[in-house]
Amino acid sequence: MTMLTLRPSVRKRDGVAVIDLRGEIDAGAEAVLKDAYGEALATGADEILLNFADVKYINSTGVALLVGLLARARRDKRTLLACGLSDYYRELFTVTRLSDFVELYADETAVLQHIQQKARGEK
Amino acid sequence: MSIRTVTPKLERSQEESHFDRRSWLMLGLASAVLFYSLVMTFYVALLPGDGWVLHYDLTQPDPDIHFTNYYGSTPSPLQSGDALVAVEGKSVEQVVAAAYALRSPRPEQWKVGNTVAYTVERDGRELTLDVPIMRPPPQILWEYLTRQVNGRLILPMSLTMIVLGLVVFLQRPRYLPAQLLLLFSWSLAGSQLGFIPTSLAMLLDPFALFFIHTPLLFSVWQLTILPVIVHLLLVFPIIKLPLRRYSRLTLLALYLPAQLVPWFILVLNLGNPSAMITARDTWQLVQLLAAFIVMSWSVIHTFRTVQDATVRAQMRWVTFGVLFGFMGSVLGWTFTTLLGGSSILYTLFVLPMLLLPLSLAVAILRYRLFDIDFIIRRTLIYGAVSVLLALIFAGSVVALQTIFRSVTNLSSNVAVALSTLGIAALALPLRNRIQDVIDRRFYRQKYDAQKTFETFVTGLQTKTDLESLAAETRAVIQETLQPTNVKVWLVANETRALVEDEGEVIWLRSNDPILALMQHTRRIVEVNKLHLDSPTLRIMKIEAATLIAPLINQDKIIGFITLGSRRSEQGYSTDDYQLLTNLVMQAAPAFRVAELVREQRQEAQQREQLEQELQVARLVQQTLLPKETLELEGWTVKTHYQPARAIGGDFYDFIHLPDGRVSIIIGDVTDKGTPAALVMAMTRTLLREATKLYDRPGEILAAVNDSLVGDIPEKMFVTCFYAVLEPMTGKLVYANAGHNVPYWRTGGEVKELHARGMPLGLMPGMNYEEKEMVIGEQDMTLFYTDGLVEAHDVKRNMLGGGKVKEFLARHSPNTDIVTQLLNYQTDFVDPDLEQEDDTTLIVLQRRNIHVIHEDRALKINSQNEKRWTVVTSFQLPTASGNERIAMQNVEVAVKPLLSSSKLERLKTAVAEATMNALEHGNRNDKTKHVSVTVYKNAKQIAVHITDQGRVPIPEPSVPDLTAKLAGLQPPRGWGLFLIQNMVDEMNICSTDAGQTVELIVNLERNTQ
Repeated sequence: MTMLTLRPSVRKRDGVAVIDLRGEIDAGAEAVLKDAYGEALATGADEILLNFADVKYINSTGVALLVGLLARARRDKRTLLACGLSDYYRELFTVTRLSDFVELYADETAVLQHIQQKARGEK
Repeated sequence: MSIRTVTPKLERSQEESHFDRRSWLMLGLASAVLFYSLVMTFYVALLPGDGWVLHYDLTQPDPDIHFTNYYGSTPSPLQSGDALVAVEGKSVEQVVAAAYALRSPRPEQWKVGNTVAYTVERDGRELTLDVPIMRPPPQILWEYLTRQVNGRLILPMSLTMIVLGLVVFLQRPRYLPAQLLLLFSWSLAGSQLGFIPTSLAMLLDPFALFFIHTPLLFSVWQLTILPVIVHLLLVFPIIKLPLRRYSRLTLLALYLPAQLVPWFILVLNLGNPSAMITARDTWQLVQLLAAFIVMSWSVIHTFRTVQDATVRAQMRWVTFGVLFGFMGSVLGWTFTTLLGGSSILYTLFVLPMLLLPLSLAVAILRYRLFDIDFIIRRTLIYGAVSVLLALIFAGSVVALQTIFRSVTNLSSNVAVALSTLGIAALALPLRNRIQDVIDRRFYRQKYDAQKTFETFVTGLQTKTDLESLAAETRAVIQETLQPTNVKVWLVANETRALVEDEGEVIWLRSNDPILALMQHTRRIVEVNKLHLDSPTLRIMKIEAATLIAPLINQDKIIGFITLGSRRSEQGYSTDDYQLLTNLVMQAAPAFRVAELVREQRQEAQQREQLEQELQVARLVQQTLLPKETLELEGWTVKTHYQPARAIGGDFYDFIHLPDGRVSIIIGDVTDKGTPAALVMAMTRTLLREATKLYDRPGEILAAVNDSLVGDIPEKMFVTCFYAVLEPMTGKLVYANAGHNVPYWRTGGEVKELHARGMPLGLMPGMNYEEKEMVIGEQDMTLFYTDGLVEAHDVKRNMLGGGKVKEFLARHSPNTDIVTQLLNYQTDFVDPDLEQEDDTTLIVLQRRNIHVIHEDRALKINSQNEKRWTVVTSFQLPTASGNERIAMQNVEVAVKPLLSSSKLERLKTAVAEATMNALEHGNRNDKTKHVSVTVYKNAKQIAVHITDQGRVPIPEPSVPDLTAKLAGLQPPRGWGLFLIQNMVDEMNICSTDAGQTVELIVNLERNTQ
């Protein structure tokens, strides 16, 4: 009944598993999101970055899916990061307090820079 | 030391191993008899003679004397079978008559080294032979005793009797039966030793003839044997009536005839051997008959009159001895007399002669060696079977030999060997088989006992129920040992009355002295042998217990089993002791386990009973608590009630007052459990009654206090916070009777609702301060009981009011404060601790979202609708994804009016509200639709989204993200929250026709 509204793809960049989310995050996204997460997990990366740059729409079901994803990531001891959120969705993350648990970045470059800095700092 | 079964009735001598005068006398007498026998035996055996042994019959008018065996070392002219006709010309009749007239018929030539002329009849011819007279060498005696068929057993048997009599006598030298047994067995042994074959020398020697010679007419032992054995049976195991009452007379009757009669017979029949022998035999028969009658009467009388198990057991031995020994000997004598001195039959009857003293010895010393019934029957049956088998065996060997010989040409030796081996191979299993069958058939009882015991022991591990274990143990003992009664005594773990009989088990106190004694003894003991001042022991004796077997588990006594005397009144045998020992050894651990199981079960039962009582009380109590939470327009009221034990002393109540106000009451009765619940119920009723009578909380508490003071138990009191709320205005009037101070959060601040007042029920005539405040929008008030603040963490720190206050300050007004507070408490407390106290919470929140079941709940309603302009209005069928259409339509309609961010927010709100309407309101029912209308006025844009469902839209709450991430709540449930946060105002109207969500967005001035 629900159409396939999200087409995520997973890649690894500089030790970070990046899930590029394309489309809409609603009820139809559940299965593909789960698969994408599994794929990201399989890369062995500690950090998983959700790229929202091409996301057009997130509804309450989508929020629930993201909450479920976050819960799983915490159980799997993975850090979930997000980038490419529009102002409005940034606000949505704030309202729902998802931003308390997911670090938000402007874009992928910002994420990688931050991680490199952190790595340098650790050295 | 041997076990002495002294029955007190018989003898009470403490020093029974010491000799008294009679002991010495009896020993002297017995020694004299034995010494005399030996001397005479030697004398007779060494008389000079011809070296031949005779067979003779003097009862005929023509005496028959013929020679049978020769013991001499030099060749003799006589031959076996020669019949004596005359000696030195004197006929046999004359010789015998002279001998029996006490005149020596010995011819003058009868001297060592001479020859005497014998006239003998051989093969029908008379011959006269010169027979040399020699002195037999001493070893002739040995030859006599061993070479003769009947003699072979005499020596060992006589020696056995001598030793036996002496052993018994030395064990109990003062005990008359032991003394008599000594006399009897030594006389008997002496008579047997003197029983040497007859020679012509003996017939010709009057001295030998009258005192030793085989007719035994006047031999000393003949005078002692029978009277002594009868005497013995009259005093053992108990002294019989004739001896008790007329002891001298009885003794005279016993001994005098035996001493006198033979003299009469001798004197009256001098010179007439045939008459003398007939008289002697008659007298002997009379004596035997009399002895037999007296002995039988003694045995039967004892059995019929005496119930004492020991005596009866002893009597069994006596009976056994009399039956087999006496009767066997009598038969032996008879057969010997009938069939001649060297008959093989005599051998068969010599052995029983030993049985009489043997069984008497056993009876006197110890009667518990064997199960006598068993032995008697076994002897009889196995004897018969063995003979039968021997015959079959012999027959088979012969038959096989014949077959072998006829079929093959094997030598007869090989044939014998082969056939014997073959039959032996067959016979052994056959014998075992037959024995098995006999065991099962004839000793069914014993056999079954063993089987029963084995089955019982095998099944012990599975028996954990104490009552049935005890019952089964008793049954097994009943079946196998057949006592009159069996009791199981167990040590009670709790304090009990002295002894408590519970049917299957009798309980003992653990400090009962008998336990210490048995712990020390550790084996089966006869109750009579216990000397202890114990009431338990007295009870045992009353219960007719005779044996006591300790149950010892892991070296500790846990009880014992007592057995009454045997039903058959026979004593317990060593087998029985063994069986019982095994049984208690195996059963003890099982009893321990069963006891533990029983204890646990009892505890569980008690707990369950208590639990059930509490369950009932809880049900009663819960019916007293409000069944539903308070429903107030514009207010959210949440309650939580968790008693610590099944019932607590906490209570709360909501009472709707006629003017629309609501009483909110929370209280706590000191103490917990059932009494607290009862007081709580009473207090609740009093509060309700007082609420009807009085208006103000202070008055109500004062009235309830006065009522309670007289009625509740001392040291018990009730704390109570009583508040009256005016829902429309939020005004709260309250008074406090010593209860925990409620918290009121207004703005970011948390305040306490103080009011002075003593707890209810302590003192009469108390006053309660009243206070008043107003609960504003989004304010929250928390009423609670001890349980919340007095929770302890691992370090025994109390949660305390301060922390609760801080917690309330931190949390947003829209959250589910009850759940969060409880989670907070749970995180705080030591997880190992049981919930310490009841916890009751009432959270009163004034809402800023008015959910009213009329359309006046909406900003745009039927009254003011005209002041708004409809921007667009449309209907959507119920289909998944149609919320997008609503979103797009609204976007198109209001895009010019709103900034992009506000538009985005409204779009989300519209989409979510429509989605809820489709899914939750219309429940995806395709026949229903969702209406969307967009209004506007100068300042605001409003969107109405109406479904056709009947499911009221729930109040929005803040999803607890932490709980969701921890997996404690499902990730869903964001819809209403998002809507509420995306718009400036949200109103909900629930009617029967459908639910409407009103979304209002303020227009920005610059865009206007």
